[in-house]
Amino acid sequence: MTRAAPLPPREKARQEEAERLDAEILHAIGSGWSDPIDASRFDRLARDVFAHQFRFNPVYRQFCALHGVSAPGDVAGWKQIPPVPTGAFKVGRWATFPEQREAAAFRTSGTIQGTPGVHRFDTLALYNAAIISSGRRFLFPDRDRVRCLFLSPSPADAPDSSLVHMFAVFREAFGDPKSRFFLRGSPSGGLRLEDLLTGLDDAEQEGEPVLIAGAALAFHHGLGALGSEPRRLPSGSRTMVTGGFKGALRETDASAIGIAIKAQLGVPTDHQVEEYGMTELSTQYYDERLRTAVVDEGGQPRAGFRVPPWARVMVIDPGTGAELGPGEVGALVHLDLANRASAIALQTSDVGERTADGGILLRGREPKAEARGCSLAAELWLEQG
Amino acid sequence: MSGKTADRIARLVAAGERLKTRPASEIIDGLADTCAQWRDDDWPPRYRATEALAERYRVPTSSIAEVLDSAFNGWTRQSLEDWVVAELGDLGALDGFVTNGSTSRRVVGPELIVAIGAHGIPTTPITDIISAVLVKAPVWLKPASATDDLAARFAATLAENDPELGAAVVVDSWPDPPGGRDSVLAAATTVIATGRAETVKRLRATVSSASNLIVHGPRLSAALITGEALAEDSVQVIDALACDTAFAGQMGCLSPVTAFVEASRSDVASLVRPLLEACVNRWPSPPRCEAGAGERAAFVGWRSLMDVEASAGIANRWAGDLDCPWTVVARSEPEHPSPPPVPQFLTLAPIDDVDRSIGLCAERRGLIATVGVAAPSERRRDIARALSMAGVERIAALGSMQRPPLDWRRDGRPTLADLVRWVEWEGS
Repeated sequence: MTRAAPLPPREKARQEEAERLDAEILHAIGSGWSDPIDASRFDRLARDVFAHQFRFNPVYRQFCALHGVSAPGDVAGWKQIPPVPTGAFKVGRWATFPEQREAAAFRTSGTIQGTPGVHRFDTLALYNAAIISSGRRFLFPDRDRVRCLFLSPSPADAPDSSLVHMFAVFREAFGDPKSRFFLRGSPSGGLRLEDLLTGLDDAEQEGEPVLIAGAALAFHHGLGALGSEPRRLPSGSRTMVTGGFKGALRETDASAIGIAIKAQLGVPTDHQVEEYGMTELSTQYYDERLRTAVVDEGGQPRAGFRVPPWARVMVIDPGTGAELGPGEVGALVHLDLANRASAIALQTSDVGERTADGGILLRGREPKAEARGCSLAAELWLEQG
Repeated sequence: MSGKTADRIARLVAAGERLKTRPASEIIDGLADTCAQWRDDDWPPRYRATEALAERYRVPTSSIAEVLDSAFNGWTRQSLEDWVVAELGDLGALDGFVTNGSTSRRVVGPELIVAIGAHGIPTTPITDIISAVLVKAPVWLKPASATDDLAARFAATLAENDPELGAAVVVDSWPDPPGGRDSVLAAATTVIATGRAETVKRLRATVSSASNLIVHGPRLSAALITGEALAEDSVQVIDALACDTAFAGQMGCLSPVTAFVEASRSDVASLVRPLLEACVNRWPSPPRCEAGAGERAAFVGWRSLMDVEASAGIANRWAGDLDCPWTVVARSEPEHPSPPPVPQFLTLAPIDDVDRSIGLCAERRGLIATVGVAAPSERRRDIARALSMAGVERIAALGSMQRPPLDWRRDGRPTLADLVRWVEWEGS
């Protein structure tokens, strides 16, 4: 019988620290909104995660030094943690753990922009817990299980996609046996239209409410393929649309999708949930319209995406880095405890504003920030005027 | 469709019918005379347009004048005739049947062209007007939203010079909803647009299947500078590269976004500062800190990424922070040409030999509009041949990337010949 070689002391320390942090973060996620982590504990935990990343990611350590932080103790509060750009996930191997400990990796979509970014995980425990906690609150607050019709490829067809992974977790945690995926191959692959039509027919005949979930582009194509004959999905059916709110589709298109969902599927506006997430984050944000409609009947949903207790979003002036107040538009900086193994503080190019009650409103990317001229092209052609 | 929109379309189509009865030479005269006026700095419409564009883009009038001259200097009577002959074989084919061997043939322009403008160089939509009128077709040019009004100004002067030509041109946004856009598109027999595959799909769903849909895909351009060219006259190379890059604030797809330089990393890094200064001199728009939050956020994200790369031991050198309108970066390793993170941004990349850059262009096959080359004469042919095999659509001398001839095959395709319908008359 052979015994496993003992871990080097540094790796042993890293693992123990990671396990201790994960336990605390899992507790915070598990407590969710009912017993939310308080501000001082959040701050302490955020700084602990930062210290962990500072210690075990030498590139981040160097990055921090460039930004005037030469030791974890230099950071007096979570707002001072140097955020890394999302592009960092394209540079080398952005992780606190060694390669042999890698349990999963999700890739950003490969675009004309070049190399995809890779978000690496040594465990999916935090990620899955965050998915389930937010999903339960915002998508499934009223039912244990809902038939899920995903406008995406299956996990087997798209193992690198964080969105598809999230849907797989939904299916496992909240779906019924008839939950299915309806796109072929890649996220841009074709729709299995016949299967989707059958799935919708079955739901209608059985009176079984469904969740239809997918990226805005998938809805755009899917609704186009369904034709104009209106359906009336069973009461309690809901949709979850992600993407398309930060530049993939124009605002006019995103709003047209909502109108089409109501007209073609019979899903009322207060059952159309929008989600904001990205491969580089482990936490997702949702609006609370469905929750308000089914749990707090008669209430008015607050505007914007709601940030869960284990995360924070700051809106900063891109030029000075100063935090902006409610109503002021700036760049979004995310602080996500569930990103324990990668980057707790993340700076994006997304532009938005904070509402007075803590919601986040995305303002998209200004056209000028994208490639211009012929490469920007006539994407505005749908505009009237 | 509202009665007002229907009337406008009917008037436009009728103007196209009248255009088809006029000799092509007269039409060229009308276009050429108008363009000649636009070459005169002191001509009031040009003067006013220059002032308006300078105010809009917040650059000096001299920068705008360069853009206008670059276009209007090329639109002469002779060049318009040459363009027709190069693409259609014979000017007479626009007026009637011309003999070609045992058959006769002529060309007929579309009944109505709808051209959907994109954000870009102010003079580009005028090319759509000229090419439509040249093949005797009426055109509804829908400018990109919130863009400048140069095309409308040009159309107004064309109408003053030659009312019949002017009547065949509408420069306007879509008529009022509901249905304004769709009714114009439904009336079109040819639609010209610039966009991605997604745009094509959506256009195709709206435009009649009988219509000719001409879509120009997204394109990028690059520069390729050999070691010999740099060694011979680096000042001239910098000037030529800045000329191509900074033209119209890099708004067009012929502006290079990447320049491959056959030199060491340190030599390439030494070009950053002078190139930045040259770009700022040519298109001194306000500093990036005055741009919208989106552009500033994207830039700060990129700048932060440079810090990440520096932390990972990747040595890049760059200049042009938020207090500057332009940014130039010398990367340590070459990458294929990609859309820049923000406007007015040039990437320099060292290469050991030109094959490396040609390979990187090949990775972007179908996306590279033009490569501007600075090379000794004995190497140019081989480089051009290799670039052509890599899918590059146009190879130009560095410094002249922004001045393609009128009969340039944009996207590898003809322009006028794509618009017209050929009619064969056998046994004539």
